[in-house]
Amino acid sequence: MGQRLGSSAALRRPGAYFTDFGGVGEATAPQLDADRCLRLRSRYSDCEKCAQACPTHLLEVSNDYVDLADGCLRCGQCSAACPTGALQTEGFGISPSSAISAAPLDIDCWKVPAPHSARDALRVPCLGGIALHELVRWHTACAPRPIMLVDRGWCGQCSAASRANHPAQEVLDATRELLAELGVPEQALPRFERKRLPRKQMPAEIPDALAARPMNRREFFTGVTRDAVRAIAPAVAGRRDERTERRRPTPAKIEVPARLQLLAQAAALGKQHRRPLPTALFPALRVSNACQNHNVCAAICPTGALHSYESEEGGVAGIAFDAGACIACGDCTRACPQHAIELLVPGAGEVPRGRTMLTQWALRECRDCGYRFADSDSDTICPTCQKTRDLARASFSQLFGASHGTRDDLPINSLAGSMRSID
Amino acid sequence: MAKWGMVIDLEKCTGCQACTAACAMENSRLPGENWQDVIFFTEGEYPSVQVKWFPRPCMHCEKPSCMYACPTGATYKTSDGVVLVDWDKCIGCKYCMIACPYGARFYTDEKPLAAPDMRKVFRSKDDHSWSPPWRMPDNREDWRRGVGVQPRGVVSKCTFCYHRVSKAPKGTPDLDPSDPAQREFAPACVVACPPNARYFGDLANPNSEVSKMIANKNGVRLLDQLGNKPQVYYLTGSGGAVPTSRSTAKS
Repeated sequence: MGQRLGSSAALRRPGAYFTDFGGVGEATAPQLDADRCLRLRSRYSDCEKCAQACPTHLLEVSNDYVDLADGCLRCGQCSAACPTGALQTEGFGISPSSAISAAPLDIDCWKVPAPHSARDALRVPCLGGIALHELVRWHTACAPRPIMLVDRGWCGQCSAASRANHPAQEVLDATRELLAELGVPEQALPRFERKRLPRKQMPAEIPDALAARPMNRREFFTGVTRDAVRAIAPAVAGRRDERTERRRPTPAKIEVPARLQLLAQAAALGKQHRRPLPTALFPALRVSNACQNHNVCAAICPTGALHSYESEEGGVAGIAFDAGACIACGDCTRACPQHAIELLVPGAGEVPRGRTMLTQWALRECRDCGYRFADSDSDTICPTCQKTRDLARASFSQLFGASHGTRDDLPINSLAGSMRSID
Repeated sequence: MAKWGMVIDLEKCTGCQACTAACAMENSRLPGENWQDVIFFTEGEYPSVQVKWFPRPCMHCEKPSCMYACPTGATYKTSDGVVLVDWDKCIGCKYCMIACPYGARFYTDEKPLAAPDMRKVFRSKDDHSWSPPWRMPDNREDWRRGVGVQPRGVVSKCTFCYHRVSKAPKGTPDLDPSDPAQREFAPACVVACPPNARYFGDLANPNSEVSKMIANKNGVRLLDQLGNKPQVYYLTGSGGAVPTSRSTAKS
């Protein structure tokens, strides 16, 4: 029996999601905030990064649900891969102590018996579950101490490592590349450190570190409170649901704190070392001439990076793009009815200064209904009115033109003979 | 399960717009944003001008292109064949309006189509787009089915008066408004139609009046070549051209 982490039915209903992490009780599987999950938000999303990242292939992702089969290792690799932070695994949101020291900061996994770790080491469930923004955050938090990911030499045998190289290899490479571009000197970059431990010291499962870790009074009581919240959450959620039944929740755009934090820290580092931000951090979009200003992309964009604008006088409208908020999910490219929008490979664009106007349209008033529409090919009526006219044309030839052997595509003028004239 | 469908007899239709008015009253539609419309079309120039018309409700297609386009799954088809919008899920992207070949979907946050702007005259204090002086009782409003006064920021469409039709006893072949027992279940436009040009019934039941009519009188579906398979059929009379019973001559 697996469990359903979230479904599209839970979307946008107030109180349906109640995420809380941590607690005194046993460790829990990753928590999913259905409202943030790209796949559940839109059918045009094909995101399955969490499922691909899962070393045990236990996650099943579809547009209607996210299911987790039994046997989750709680390694957090799915959470690290999630572009919006919808999936959260316990044990990762930690910060290094602020004690001043010159020694490198060790990052160790929960499987390593605590006495073998350095005293101030950061212990996470699995090194593979570290996300890029976490590593950059730890780097800035404890600079100039370099960060050492401790390689115990047994990751190859661990069930949480399904890939050929070390589970943290990719994120380490990415972090080193980013920090090097920002001018961080080689000796300060995070790196692996080999401290071999005998294979027999490795426990079969990731232990529940919350139980293993020594806990102070404050942490204990915080944990008890969280457990209490978790216990009564369903009841509270039900009550909230009832009370807010009449309220329509807004189709909210989501903020991605991980990305905002990464950009802020990259900007700070770049300023410190007088380097520009690398273009690889910023996705770029290109809009072709096929665009008809339907604004579907802006409505679908999960973060609001794409949004529609209209000039104050109301004469010009179009879509604007904020590369800082873009998570390169590609939903806009798949949703565009004209396939007019294209996501360029990271680094192909420039470092943006604020939002850029992707399209500019002169607005024109529809002759029939007065609606202001984007003037595409010098039409005098809006697409909606045009559609109604086309429907009328096709339907009249279909409904009233049949006896004269006419076809749907016949010009309406030749139907004149099929109706008696009024005079 | 029933598969509700409508038959509109264009031989009887006089283009009087009673259906439009009835729909606007039943569903609190803003002026110019009617779920049910009669499309008029003029051609030629004075003095030989012709006016043609046909009523256009939502076609409640068997294969609704709006449903396939919807990114959030807000548009869905019920087991009794009605296409509805879940206003709790709709994000107002208007993709369905682009996808619908019949133009049967509405988004009222645009410029008002008639003056004065009723949204300002009857301003809403909650999430509704306006607060009409007459509206259905709150307990009949059902946002998961797109029934009621349209909220802001969502797309709405004809529901076949789902709040009435869904109350009909199971297995009813036809909802005939001339039968007092069925009148309250028939859609408002069907009840209101003065020349009784509209028929509503179960297309899945071969013995229903609508099924027989479609078979015997050669029911036509609009834009059938698109493959949407509408559940609204039009009868045009045996000739197919101008209905013989309709006199358009002046004298």
